[in-house]
Amino acid sequence: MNPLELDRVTVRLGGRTVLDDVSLSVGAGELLPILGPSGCGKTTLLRVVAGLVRPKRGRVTLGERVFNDPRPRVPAHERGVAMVFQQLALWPHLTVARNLSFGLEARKVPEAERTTRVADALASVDLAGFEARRPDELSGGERQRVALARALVANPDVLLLDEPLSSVDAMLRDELLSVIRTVHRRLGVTTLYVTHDRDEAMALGRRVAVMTDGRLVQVDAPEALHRRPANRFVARVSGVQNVFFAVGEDDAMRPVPDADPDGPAPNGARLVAIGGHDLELADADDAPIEGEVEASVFRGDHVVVIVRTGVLRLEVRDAARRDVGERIGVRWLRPPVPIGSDSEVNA
Amino acid sequence: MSRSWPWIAVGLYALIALVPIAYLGYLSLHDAQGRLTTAFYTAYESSALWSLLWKSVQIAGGATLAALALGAPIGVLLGRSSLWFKPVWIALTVVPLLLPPYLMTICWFYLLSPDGWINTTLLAPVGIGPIEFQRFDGLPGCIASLALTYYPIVALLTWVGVRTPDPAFEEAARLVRAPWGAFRRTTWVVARPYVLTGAVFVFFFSLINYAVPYQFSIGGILPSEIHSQYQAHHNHGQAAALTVPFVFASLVLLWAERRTVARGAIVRGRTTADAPPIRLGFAQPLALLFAAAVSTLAAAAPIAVLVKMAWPFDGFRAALESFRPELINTVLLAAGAATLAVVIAIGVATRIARGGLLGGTLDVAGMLPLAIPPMSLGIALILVWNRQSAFGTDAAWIARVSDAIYTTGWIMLFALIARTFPFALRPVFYGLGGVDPALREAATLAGASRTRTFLRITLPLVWRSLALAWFLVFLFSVGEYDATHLVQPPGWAVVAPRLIGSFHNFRHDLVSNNALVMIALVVFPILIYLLVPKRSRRPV
Repeated sequence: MNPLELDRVTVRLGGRTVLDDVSLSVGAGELLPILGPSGCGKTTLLRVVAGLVRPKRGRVTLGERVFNDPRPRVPAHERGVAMVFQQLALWPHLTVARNLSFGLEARKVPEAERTTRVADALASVDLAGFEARRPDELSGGERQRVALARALVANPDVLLLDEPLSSVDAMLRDELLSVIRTVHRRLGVTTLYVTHDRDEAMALGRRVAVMTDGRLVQVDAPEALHRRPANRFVARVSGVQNVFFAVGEDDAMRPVPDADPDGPAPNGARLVAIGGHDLELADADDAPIEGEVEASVFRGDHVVVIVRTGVLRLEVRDAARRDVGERIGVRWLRPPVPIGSDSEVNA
Repeated sequence: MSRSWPWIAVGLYALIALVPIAYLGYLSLHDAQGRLTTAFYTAYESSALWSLLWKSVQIAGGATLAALALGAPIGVLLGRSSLWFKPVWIALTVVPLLLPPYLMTICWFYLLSPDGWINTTLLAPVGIGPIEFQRFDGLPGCIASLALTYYPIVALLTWVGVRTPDPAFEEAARLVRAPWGAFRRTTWVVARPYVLTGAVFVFFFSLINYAVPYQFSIGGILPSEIHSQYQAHHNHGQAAALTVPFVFASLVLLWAERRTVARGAIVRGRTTADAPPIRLGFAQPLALLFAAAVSTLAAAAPIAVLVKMAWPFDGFRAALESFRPELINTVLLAAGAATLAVVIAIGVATRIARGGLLGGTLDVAGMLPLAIPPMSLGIALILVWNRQSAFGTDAAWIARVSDAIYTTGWIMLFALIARTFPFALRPVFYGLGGVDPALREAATLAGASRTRTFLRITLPLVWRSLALAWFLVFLFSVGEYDATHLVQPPGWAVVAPRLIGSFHNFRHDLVSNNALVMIALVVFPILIYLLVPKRSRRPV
């Protein structure tokens, strides 16, 4: 396995910059989730690596092999890259076995070896015995597995997964995430996993790359994204609910309740972020922040209490519901961390 | 498909259709000595030309109104109502499309002439008649004949149009309005562009038709004037100048097609379920009567009279033997033209899909032959490939190439392809466009070449679109008359001109038997298509 490197890659499509000076290093055998909203350039990044989109600038390398510089040096079908497409792109007129063996046939793999590799790939995703079925005879989850097996059967150097679980329900998603984790652990293939789902990204990667507007904003461990988000966007996309302007330092830090977090910074204030689990509710008289309960939202193993103070809405993780309108205090268990504006990048 | 095929295909299409059309434009602006002139366009200042145009518009407009009156209600009844025996009416609605317009005319001559079937078989036994159906002759007969041939275009497009919107639109309206009111305010609004498109197509197809007015001895229309300028006066420039405005008619057709397709793309939200049909209730007998009357006039009666004329088929073998060379040539040329047109259309459609200025230009150019009188296309092909005209005779190799095309079946193939190419291009274009690009990309990443990807992935997914394209070209080629009767070289005679000739020579035994064979020829591919088992090709 070789590391994958993207160096200052820029892509323009239809007069619009879709990827803007993106640099990214993916370790050999690493599974790197790329997290971001729809239209932020995640899929284009995968397509650049696959060789389906030609960058305007930048360099893509896998170990010593230069894929683009930015001219294509290696065509898509010779890169050793496999991809699971968002809509799966299973060939509807071919059986499962033919879907898997198509690429092997194109590469002139002998028939006996093809049969073995198809069987092994199907077994690796728990679909042994499904060879003769057609895609329209499979359930949604089975199709996802076939798409994954089709990508794996060629023993790729790089595996690209483009929101493969975007169209499955929550129960199936957990099951398929487990399959992906297992397969990756076993094969150790360098993998890019594109998703807009925070939980998927955090569950899969030791590091997560956060993208917006064609730029990588932060590449960090999930815990670090949570504790030290680079800016307001990363804070929100990684699940840090409370972003506001504050004055003071450490335990003496206080929010500016009338400052709109999306507006300009008041004098002497700076933007900070803190997760709901780092806040706790207290008596109104016994806390640095005082507000009114706006809502209590049941979330299974905990309750999120939304406290309004001035124009701020703080989300606090708690054990029980509170009455709407109740006067209540909020204090932090650890001080909020300062974050940059959305234009600041820490990738 | 190789990387170069789209370019080769574009070149072939240009050679076969665009060069002759462009040559017409050149001819219309140059005199016999090759000097630039606008003299031929001064004809448009004369009232004689405008009276030609007015007569042509009368025929086309009348046929369009009649086709609308028949086709739109049939389309609505088949698409959205609880009309009984729908499969029967749908099949009978398709039948007129299998009959070339001149054959429909011949059938109605057989039905309505003083010694025709209606007088002798239906009226005489009950002591009526014989009735002189003189009013059928002339303009009304020509309009009726074209309307009966072309009304299925309106009916089928209306049928598609009323089934296009998401059923939820109409269901939402049904909560506040009666069923037909809800239909009128929702589905019909979406379907109207489809009906309009059908009407536009019927108008132009009628406008450029030569054979039907010719059978009614109607002169003084544009196609007949083009024919006479070419054939009688040898005034090629004038014939070309009369054709050039039809190029703009092609743009109108393209606009109409885009309007329907674009609308369809916006509103089509449903996946499988159709809206529940609107109950006809007490109107059911009236609707059945209407459907039966239209189907009888346009399908059952014409076919029945051919069968009756041929019955008991004792002259079938002799008739077939007499037409043997024409039948063989017709099948070979129609199948050849269909195959070549589809292969070229795949390349052209691929190039159109890549977009850009060339893609957009080809998109328009691909529709050009649709509204140009086939008569003019035939003339253009003769003028281009007859070595004494377009290319001159200086270079021996040009003379050889011209001879190899002009004096052989190739000129017939060129004429058929030039005439029918839009019918191949549209299904192929939409078929290829319907394949998710990710399916091809997945094949590329799997290591497949372009050719392998096309043969193994794309082709199996779009073969029904290609089959439809092939069938449409085959269908129109089998019955083609206007262009082929001009260009057919010795040894390459086809059925249509012979059929019309036999009709004028009162050889009705030959006409009826061979007309039935001609219909069987186009039904045969439909049967094969229907027999092929259907499997899901939907993306999953």
